[in-house]
Amino acid sequence: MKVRSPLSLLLISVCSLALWSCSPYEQDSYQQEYIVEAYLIAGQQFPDVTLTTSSELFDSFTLRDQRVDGATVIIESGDTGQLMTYQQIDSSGIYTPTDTTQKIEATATYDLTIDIPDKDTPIRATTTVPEPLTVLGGITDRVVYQSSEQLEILVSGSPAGQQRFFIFNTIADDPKSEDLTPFYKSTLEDSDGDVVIEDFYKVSSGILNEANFFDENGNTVLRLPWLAVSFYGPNAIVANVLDKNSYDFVRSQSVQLGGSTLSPGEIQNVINHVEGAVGIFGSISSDTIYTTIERNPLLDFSPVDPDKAMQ
Amino acid sequence: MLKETDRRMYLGSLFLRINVHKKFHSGCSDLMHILTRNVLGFAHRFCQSCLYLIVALCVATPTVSDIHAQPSKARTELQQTTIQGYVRDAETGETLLLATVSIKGTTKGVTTNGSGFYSLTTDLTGEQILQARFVGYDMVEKEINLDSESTIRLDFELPPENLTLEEVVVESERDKEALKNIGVAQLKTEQIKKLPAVFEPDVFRSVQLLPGVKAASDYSSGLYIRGGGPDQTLILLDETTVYNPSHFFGFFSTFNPDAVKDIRLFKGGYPAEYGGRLGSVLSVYNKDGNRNERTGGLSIGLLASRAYIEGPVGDGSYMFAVRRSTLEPLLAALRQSVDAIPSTFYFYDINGKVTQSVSENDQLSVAFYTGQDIVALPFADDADIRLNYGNRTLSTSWKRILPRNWFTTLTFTGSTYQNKPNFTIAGTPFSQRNEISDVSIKFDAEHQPSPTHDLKMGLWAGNMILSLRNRFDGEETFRNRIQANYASVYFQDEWRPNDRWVARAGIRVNAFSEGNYIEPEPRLSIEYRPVPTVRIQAAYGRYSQFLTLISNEAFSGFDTWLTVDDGVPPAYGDQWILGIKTEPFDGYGFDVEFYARTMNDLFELDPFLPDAAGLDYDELFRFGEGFAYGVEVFFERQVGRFTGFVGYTYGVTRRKFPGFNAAIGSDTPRFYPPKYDRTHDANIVATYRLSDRWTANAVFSYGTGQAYTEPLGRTQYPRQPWNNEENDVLLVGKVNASRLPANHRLDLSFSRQGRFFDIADSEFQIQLINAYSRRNVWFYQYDFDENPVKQTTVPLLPILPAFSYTLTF
Repeated sequence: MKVRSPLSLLLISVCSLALWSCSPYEQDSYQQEYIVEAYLIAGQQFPDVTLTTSSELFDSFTLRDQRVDGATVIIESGDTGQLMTYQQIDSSGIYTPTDTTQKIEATATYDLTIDIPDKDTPIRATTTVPEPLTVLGGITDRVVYQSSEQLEILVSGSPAGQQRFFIFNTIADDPKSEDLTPFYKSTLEDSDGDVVIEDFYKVSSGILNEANFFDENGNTVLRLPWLAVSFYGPNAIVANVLDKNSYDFVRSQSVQLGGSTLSPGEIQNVINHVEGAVGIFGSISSDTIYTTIERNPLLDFSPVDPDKAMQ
Repeated sequence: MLKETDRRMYLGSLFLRINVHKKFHSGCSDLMHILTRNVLGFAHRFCQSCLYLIVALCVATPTVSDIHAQPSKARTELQQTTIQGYVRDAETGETLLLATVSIKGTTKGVTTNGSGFYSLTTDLTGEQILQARFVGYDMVEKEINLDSESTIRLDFELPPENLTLEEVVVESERDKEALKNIGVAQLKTEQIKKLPAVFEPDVFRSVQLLPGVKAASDYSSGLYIRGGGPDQTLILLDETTVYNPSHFFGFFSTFNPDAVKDIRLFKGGYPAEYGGRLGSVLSVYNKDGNRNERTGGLSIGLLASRAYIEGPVGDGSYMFAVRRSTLEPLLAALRQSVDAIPSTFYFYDINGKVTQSVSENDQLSVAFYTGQDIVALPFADDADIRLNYGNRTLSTSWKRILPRNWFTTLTFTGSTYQNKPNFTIAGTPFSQRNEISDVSIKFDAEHQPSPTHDLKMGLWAGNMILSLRNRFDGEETFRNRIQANYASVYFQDEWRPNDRWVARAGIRVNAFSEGNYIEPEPRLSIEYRPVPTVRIQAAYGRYSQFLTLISNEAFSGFDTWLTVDDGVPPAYGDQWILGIKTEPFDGYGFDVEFYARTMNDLFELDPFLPDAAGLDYDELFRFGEGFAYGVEVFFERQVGRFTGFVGYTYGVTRRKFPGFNAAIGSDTPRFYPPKYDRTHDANIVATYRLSDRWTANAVFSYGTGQAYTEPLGRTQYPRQPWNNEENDVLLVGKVNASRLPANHRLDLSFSRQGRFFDIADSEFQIQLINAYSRRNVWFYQYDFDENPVKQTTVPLLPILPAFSYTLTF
């Protein structure tokens, strides 16, 4: 009897554990979602709005096949009194503004509303455009690649107490394979065809916090890393300040591709601020400068094989 | 999903993500200032430690009058006798941990502690026979007269079992009393060396075979114990914390089997003498060295080669062991035909220990460890990675046997961890320098005031400096230095009112200066023995943790530790354990343990944080909760030619973090299983002695496929103003709600003992890892360049042969 009692306890524990462990954690089934994409850029005209649907993962996919036709799209701002209606020019799922003269105003809040005939509730999203970004100085016409003189740009300061989130991109004005910088040339050559030269026409920095660029006087001085230069020759350097929607979208989208502290295969949806759909209704403020990147004769890298690079 | 460029940038982006920023500090440019501050800082910390030491000694050391107290008078009143001493290996003089010492014909028995010391108090009188036993050793009996003195010093030297087959079959008598404590497991070094292992015998990979311990993958030696991640296990080497115990990006642990004497694992419900981690404790003990003769060994393997020497010195012993990777010839050959082979790639370990018996009652020891990984990898034109990380530890201990049944240990520990990755890509350098410097003093005292009570008490105080410095493109983008004092005190009483019941109650209080956190932690365990071969055990404990590790399951080369601070409270959790341990037949064991645990205020680096510059410290983290429960079954056979064990674990682990794993359109997070969660996990470890010379070993592992997130849908966002890519995005349901295919593998090894030209004993070992070449899945990738999307499998280890040759002289 003395042994039976604890064994009974053991049995009870096993049963309890078995019951406890029955709580299901089953995978969700696929649900088709409406997908919205639009970015307001301060100082520019109202953007196109893309409206599509998602597709099952292993179905053949083209964005055109996923288009959503017949929607009513409106962007309006209570701050500025603007009301922009949209029209669908063709069956591409892309809606264009009916008035191209109106400009997006920095610091204003804009609301997106999309009504779809067979959808009960409208799709809604809101964005507040960041403060305008202005290049104040430091523009250099020519810079020698990987020389000691890096391109430094002084930009307007941020609102007090707020940190801005930047994405920089370098856009090659006349990209040619023979003008690829050594790292990008090597990446292209070693890619077995899954990288094409067009991938490097516009190089993005990923998100960088403004605190990285404060100088000793508290000014924001952007220093262009050589990593951001994919082509010698004329380049446009664009500094973008992201709103919260864009910041959340980009940072969560990049984690889907790996590189985070998450384990391989632990994938999370992108952070979504669109009501009734999935996607991004974001805004940015940006400014652009132009410079020419010259080859550095002191660097010893072999010339690119154009035929191989273009494969 | 991962394009070539993504893969190339994977390491770089990971590096960037772990560049955590707390506050921006201007750097010290004056070298003298730095030197002065460091010297003064060390002096300050040393003085602090000495102050703690004085307090400790005042509290625990008996006064002169205590030492000269009248033993005969005490004996007359109490009629108690204490027998105490060390239990050692008769051949090498090594102390034996968890050996059993008992009085023949009674159930009175104790086990040796982490120093190989025992203290047995009894009220028996007259002539008695004391027995000392330990796994793998012949039992030794000694007669004693308990009427002569109140305290008797009696050391034992146990001869290793004569391993002729007949004797093994007939005479083996095992007693694993101490290992039957709740949540405890122990591994012998010889067992680790014999098990088939990928390239190199490895302590952690052997520990991963125990029930309740899981491996993240074939490529990781990280310990995932009872639902906890690697940072929830306290790793101690001779009482010194080791912060990144891995080589080869996590493929191997840093512990050289030649230098290790014993490994004790507290999987959960660990006693009050330990603290600082939510989950478990792995305590590794270096060899003291051979006290009787000089011996050594040399082992040549595919990945690394090892050498050690040990012997007597003065009234004690020494031990030095070296291990270094020997990959250079292989890398040189690969470099002729394969791109992106490291130009430099090696690791090394050096272990040493010197032990001296200053008197019959005093023993001093100094132990050190240093290890480093160096990697240089040019992975494209104008792009290279350089990694340099490693640990150093130093511990000095003074063990003292005091009158009135006291045994004390005073330990000074120092541990540093450095991690200095550097990248240069397209002329843009970025680097990180993460350093931990931890100095501490520990004082532990054991006292047996009566035959029914064993007291343990102690304190641990130290000073920890964590520094993190990042540079990007020639500019210092972040510099942070946290200096924190920490202290713990504990008290524990083990009460044995009769032969059937044992209760252990303890309290530990941890304090951490950053944030001024004080965490009391009660611990309680009860054991009931209805019959001598059955133990029923239950335990409860609260545990807290002031540190968190930024790491990635796939790569430990950038591991970075962070601490609590204002706004970042310590994680804490409760553990409940219920176990039954039996010996159904002589030489067999059958154990079952249930466990359940909670994890609260888990803090870890926000995985969505792209750049932490300028953020407040608490903004770096996400705070969550979790729980785990399961049952472990362990069956072992320790007698005869065929020995081994079968371990099975049923386990459930869940985590929850705000905003994570929410349904589309919802902000409500849901619990999810981490990737390493495996519902069923089983290991079979078998050894068969074919003859006096030949031994065969086999390890079979089976586990439920790991959790992963199965993408359900896809879309594209091609209009982003800052790039011209299609920006493929996945739509997923519940995080980690799907399972990879079941994981199983068979590893075999055969070893032959022999002689090498009458100079040394030799052992040739040949191994076959993944003998039937099971292509287990690590994770899936999704190639969006194909339409429709193509899923590809990233596999785990293929079939791998390996061999090693070891000489022992």
